[in-house]
Amino acid sequence: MGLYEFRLPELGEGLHEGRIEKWIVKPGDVIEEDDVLAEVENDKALVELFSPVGGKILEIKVEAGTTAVVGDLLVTMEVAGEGNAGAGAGESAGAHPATEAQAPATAATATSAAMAATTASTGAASTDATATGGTAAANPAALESRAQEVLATPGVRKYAREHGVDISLVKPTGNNGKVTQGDVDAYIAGGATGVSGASAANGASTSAGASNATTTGANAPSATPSPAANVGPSGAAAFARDEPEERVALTTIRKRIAEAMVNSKKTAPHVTIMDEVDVSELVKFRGEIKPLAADRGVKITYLPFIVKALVAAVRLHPGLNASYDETTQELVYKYYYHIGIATDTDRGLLVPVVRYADKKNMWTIASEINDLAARGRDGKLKPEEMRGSTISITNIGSAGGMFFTPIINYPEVAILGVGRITEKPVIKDGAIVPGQMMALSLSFDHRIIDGGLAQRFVNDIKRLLENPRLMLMEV
Amino acid sequence: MNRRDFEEAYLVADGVEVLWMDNPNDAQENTDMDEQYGKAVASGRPPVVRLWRSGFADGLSLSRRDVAGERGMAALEQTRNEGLEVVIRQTGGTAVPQGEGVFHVSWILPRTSQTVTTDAYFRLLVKPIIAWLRELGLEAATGALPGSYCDGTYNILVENRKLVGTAQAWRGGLAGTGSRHPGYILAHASITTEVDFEAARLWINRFYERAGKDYRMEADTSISLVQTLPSIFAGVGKKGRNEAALSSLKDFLCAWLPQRGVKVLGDSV
Repeated sequence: MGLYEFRLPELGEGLHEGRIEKWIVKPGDVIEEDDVLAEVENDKALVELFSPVGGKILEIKVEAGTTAVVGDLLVTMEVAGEGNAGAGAGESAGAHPATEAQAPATAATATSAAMAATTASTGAASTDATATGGTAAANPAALESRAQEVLATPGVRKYAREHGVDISLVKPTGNNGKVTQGDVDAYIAGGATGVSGASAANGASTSAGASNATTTGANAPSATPSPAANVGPSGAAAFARDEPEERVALTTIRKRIAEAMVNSKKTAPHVTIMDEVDVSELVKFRGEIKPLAADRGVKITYLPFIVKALVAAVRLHPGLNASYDETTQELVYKYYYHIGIATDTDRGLLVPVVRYADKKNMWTIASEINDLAARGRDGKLKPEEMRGSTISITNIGSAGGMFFTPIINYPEVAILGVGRITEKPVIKDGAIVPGQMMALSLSFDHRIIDGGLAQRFVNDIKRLLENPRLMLMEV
Repeated sequence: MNRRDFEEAYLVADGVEVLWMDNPNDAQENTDMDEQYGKAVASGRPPVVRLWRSGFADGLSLSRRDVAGERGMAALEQTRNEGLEVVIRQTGGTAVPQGEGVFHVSWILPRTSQTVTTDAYFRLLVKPIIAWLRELGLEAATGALPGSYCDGTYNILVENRKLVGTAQAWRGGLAGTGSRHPGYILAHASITTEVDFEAARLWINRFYERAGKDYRMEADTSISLVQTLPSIFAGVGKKGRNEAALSSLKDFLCAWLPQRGVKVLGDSV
């Protein structure tokens, strides 16, 4: 048996000490290689030190809560073989599990390079950032200053630069005043009016605000006929004056829903296509992950899957994730995916928005839908949480319906209606087998979208819902 | 070519997944997801860059050291009783404000036999954020700033005020199936899109007074994205602005990392 001395390794560059936060082991413990010995904090990095060898803890040399210097002996162990006692602090780095192993030559070089002072490394970080931000360096300072006021994705900024366009001059039409690639194209084509710097951003905000106001009013696609529609001065009362009636003023939210429905239906020529999809695999898959979901405290419905499938399909068919600007007669493509989820509440139909659905994991989307729906029912949604959707879903299946003709959440150009899942006989490989069939209804603005495109879009949604494994590619 | 110029490629040679994954309705679970990913990465899952929103409720993120001891635990309980959401994180440092105007970037990597320092991982974390801020038109640099919340060398400062806090946790032994305790490294940044720093100062200082600790925050040491870029994320509420900023950084990372020799895995854009 030999004696092994474990010393404080160098964890950071230019930092020669670390505070021993906690000992995980105590004298007499028998440990194995990779077992954690202690926690050390060093410039906000809480590092668990693990043992490169197995053995028995003999003595802890530094109390928890005290600060040790790199190379200080922390603990001694009895190990099989010769051990390393006597190697001293000069070889203490050898006690560091990181260096104990066979580090690649490049890494070793890096370590010596990394021994530079912290200030130098800070400078390096800034310099590197400058270099990589190369786009900014390529632009004159004045442009860069104005460009900072513009909201656009890096991809669009790059696109603008590649086409020699000062992005601060482009009129933004995207959500929240974001410049889209289409805006840049419009600018190149001369179709956009030049606006400068901050005024562009401010204008965009104003315009976004105005558009949001419209959208708020439009946040009400519904397949549910209003009961109030049957009551009126020339209705039943005109023929049966003695029948009991009651006049009830519409709530503000109901008025807005009504205005939005009329505006959408009057403005956009609606066409609805209906189709069925066999979701047997999805039903099975959902059943399998339910326990997992329960562990995470997330209620998993079919909606997150439908959201993901919808996003995947609009990526393939960007025309469906767009709005129509009647004043300029331009189609505004949205390169972000904010999905409106029509939600039935006591106060009326609300359409909270799952923003950036393309970038969120299925769990996140599920959790978010649950939260939005719950807060929608409790009347706790903020107005901004019901704005800015780019395409919407309305689900009537939970109430038992199948096919219907949803009204578009104008100025969007399409809405997907989801009906209930029904067990039906389907023919597979020549045999009649039970299938779980989900009803889908897609309403679209026929000014913008043709039937063929709409059906192909639905086909792509079906493809993903039929085979949930394909959705792995969309996570 | 200096190795540090392309340090990212050495540290994440096999590429990373860039994910937006969170559950802001459960602040502690949201925070603990880093640990779940860490365990998966330690056991062989590809490294992850996780972008996530803070829990929506206003509150604080504290380190385990903050709440160690009787006074720390009592201060924690008192703070929670006042209605603040408090999460306990695994990285080091001191209290950090949380809420719907804060988002995070977590690099989660396997603990390897390479000799790499905490500084290398801090650089890995801060370089793309600084480059992103530069693309937004902000000059940013790292540095300590006494009086700022959770002060450290790798704060990201804009206009000499703190915009981003950073910290790390190294857990377990070497990664891999052969290890008894497969380990991972978490390098984490907390980015403030919109925070009431005066309120945060009160919460933080009250906590440390109760805990009997000397740390104090000064509100004017901090800055948020909305303060420095007032119009860029305008018009959609605090939560929406925070999401827009997160989304912008995610897009940037997916474009920037390949330029630095880091493969972005999967269809995560």
